[in-house]
Amino acid sequence: MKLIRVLLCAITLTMTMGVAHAQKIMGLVVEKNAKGVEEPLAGANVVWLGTTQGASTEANGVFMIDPLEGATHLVISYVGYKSDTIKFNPQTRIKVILVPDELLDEVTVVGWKPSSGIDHTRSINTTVMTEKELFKAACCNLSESFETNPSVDVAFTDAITGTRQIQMLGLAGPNTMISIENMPGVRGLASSQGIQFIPGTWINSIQVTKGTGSVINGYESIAGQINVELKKPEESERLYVNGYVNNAARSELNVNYTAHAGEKWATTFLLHGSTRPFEMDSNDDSFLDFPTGTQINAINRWVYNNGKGLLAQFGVKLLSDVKLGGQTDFSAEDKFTTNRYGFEIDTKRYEAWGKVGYQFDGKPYKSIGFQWSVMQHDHASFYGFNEHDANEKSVYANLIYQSIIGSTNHKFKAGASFLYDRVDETFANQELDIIYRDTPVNSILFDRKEFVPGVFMEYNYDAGGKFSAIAGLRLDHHNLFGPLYTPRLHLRYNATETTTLRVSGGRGIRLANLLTESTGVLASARQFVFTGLQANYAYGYKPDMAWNYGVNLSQDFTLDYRPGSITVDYFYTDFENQVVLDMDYSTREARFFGLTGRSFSQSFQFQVDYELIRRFDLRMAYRWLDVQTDYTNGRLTRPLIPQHRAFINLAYETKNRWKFDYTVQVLGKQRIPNTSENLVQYQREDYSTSYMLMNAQVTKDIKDKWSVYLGVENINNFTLDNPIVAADDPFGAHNNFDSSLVWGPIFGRMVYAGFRFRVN
Amino acid sequence: MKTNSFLILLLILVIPVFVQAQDKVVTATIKVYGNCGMCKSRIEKALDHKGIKKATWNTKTKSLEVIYVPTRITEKQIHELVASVGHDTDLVKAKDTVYGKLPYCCLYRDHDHSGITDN
Repeated sequence: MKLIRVLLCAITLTMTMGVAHAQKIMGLVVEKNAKGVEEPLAGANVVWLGTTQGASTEANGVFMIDPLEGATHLVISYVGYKSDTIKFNPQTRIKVILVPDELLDEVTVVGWKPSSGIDHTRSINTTVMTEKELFKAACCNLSESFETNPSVDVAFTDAITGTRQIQMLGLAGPNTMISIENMPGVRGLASSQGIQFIPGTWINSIQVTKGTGSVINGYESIAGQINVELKKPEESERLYVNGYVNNAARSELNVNYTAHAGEKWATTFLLHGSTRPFEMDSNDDSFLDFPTGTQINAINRWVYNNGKGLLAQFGVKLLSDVKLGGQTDFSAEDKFTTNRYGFEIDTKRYEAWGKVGYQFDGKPYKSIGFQWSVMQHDHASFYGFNEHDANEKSVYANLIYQSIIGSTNHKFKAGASFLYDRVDETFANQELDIIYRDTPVNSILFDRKEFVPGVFMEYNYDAGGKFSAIAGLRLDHHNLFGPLYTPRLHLRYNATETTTLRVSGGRGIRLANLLTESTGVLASARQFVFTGLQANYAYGYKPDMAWNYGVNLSQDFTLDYRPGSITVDYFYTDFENQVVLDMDYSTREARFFGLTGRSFSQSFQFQVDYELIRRFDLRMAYRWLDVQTDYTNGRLTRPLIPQHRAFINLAYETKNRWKFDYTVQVLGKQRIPNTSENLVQYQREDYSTSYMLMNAQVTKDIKDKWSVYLGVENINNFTLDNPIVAADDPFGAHNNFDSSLVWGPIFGRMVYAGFRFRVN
Repeated sequence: MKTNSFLILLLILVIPVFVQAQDKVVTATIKVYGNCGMCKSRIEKALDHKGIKKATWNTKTKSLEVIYVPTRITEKQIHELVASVGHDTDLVKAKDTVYGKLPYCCLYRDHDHSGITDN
């Protein structure tokens, strides 16, 4: 017995020794860079002296080498460096610092540091949506990016053009200012189609501000601000390819490519191509559910950084987008006939922009920046007998100086801006007269030129304490409607470390682009009536002006060691002036008039965010809206806006990088404009029903480069039975045809799949 | 009807949070060697484990604060979890083969973090 034990012991001992022998020897090879900091050398050769047995270093500078009987010295070599020989000692760690061979000039590439971006002034309550958030809904462009954000609604404007519109606080899209890198983005003629011209893979992050915003980027925001930061050369992947396809054959391909040219220059190409090749009519109403079409969209942008405080960038963008829709089998000969109802929007857009910034040496708080953009937008469209063609040329410049008053507790930004906008616009109806100023005409020009120089100043108090404030004022002089003043104020108070109260108030002004913003009624047989005129320029109306006030209370909490937050907010928007589209005065008319009574919106929202269990996030929100306007025949709730909306988003991520996302929302009933003058079979209920929408997506990251996703939109397959009024008789003598009364999805369950491939 | 089912769903989701069994919880402070922000996320990710409520590693003090349920995981196991991703603790050393695969900035045995910026 004893013998066996000894034997066993011996065996175990030998085995352990064997293992010890087989254990590799580890070492590290580094060099010293220009600043004297050690950096790893990858790919250096390590061999036992006098042999060919060796290893090489990995990216982290580490090598693992098998011990060799009798060998005691290691030779470390690397092209361009002096070789080194060291004696191996098992007691000490091996670390070799290689010195460059003087004969070869060392090339050091200055790394690109990510730009600081916009400074998030904490007094303004801005939600930042990062790529991680945007990936929760993988499809496809900015109009589809807000699925997980309960503050932003996205609704179809009509059942023909597939146009989606953003709503904040229950107010139509253009009341929200959408900027791209803090420059004019989706505005003017782009205000209806523009959010579909920003592919999701181009987006680095989105900042959403509810209510009044900063004065620095202009006076246009009324309901909120959405700023989109695109991918930048200094912080983008080298290559990023994304492909997407859904069961209706909508296909998209996006390629982002970044290259560094020398030490100071870098460039990024953002390329997008998409198509909806096939005609789809799943509800058999003879109209396409979605227009067919193609989009080609490209950006090339450059950045220059001299490493001494000067940062410059510029870029160009080209876009071509065609959408064709209406009745199935519509062909070019049917245009402006009663054979088939057709629709087309053809957009071409060219943009160039630049930014130069200089940060004063040793004074990080002091900087000066100048940004400019020029743009041309061509829009050609027809909807049945309605014809709308427009061309916009725009120039924008903004100079911002930023510094402090006494100490960094008191910061300010001041500057001057200039906007030039020239729009040539024609609107015609080939069959029905347009009523303008009580006069029937068959076509009308809405040409206009705007010159708006302005100055602004924004003071920011933040002493790092419980209280901070931002007060801004801008004064602009508009060539058509004179001086405009825009004051805005934001206050923040931290009652406790986890409780934040924010109050905001301010004014917003914008000149409505009536036709572009009314895509829905263009795709109807309603007669256009412009009445209650207020001015002699543009469409004959003064600009929309509104005051917005908001309160926001947020409470962070920790429950069972996991973080969460509760947010409650209330916003009130009161219009001083507004061009109102009245759909209720007559079912036969799309009646525009200048507001004489009141128009307001109230929004209340309650939101809870919590990590239910590890890596499993819950977001719940409830939103209540009250949007009313004094129409021609009295005060009514704004049509096609749900008063109640409830929302749940669940996101779960496993340790091995499977991601599951699920969103369910319930939209309450919506008021449908009066249809009592229609033939009985074309009349609609006064209110829609409430309905539920569900989306889900599964994503799997594979290694570091690949990621694939599969998703389903509208899982419960809810669709409107009959989205278009009089779809069977679009040219009927009673003019009942109307595609603008949509309050829910037109297309049912949709399955999609895609991939992302990234190389850093 | 639809709104009702929605509310029920909501309740089903929220109730488990509040009825979760309240096991006894212990907080431990452990010295863990490492350098940078990458180390921090690696260490904390390794402790995304059953029985551990929360783990926070301080890059400057190298101290790990871990809140855990002793009936489900022992302190020794926590040391082992940390070592298994390449980081030494006072009790358990990481294997060379694991340590050698760490990115350069995390090679805490061979250099400290001075002069290196995190990415």
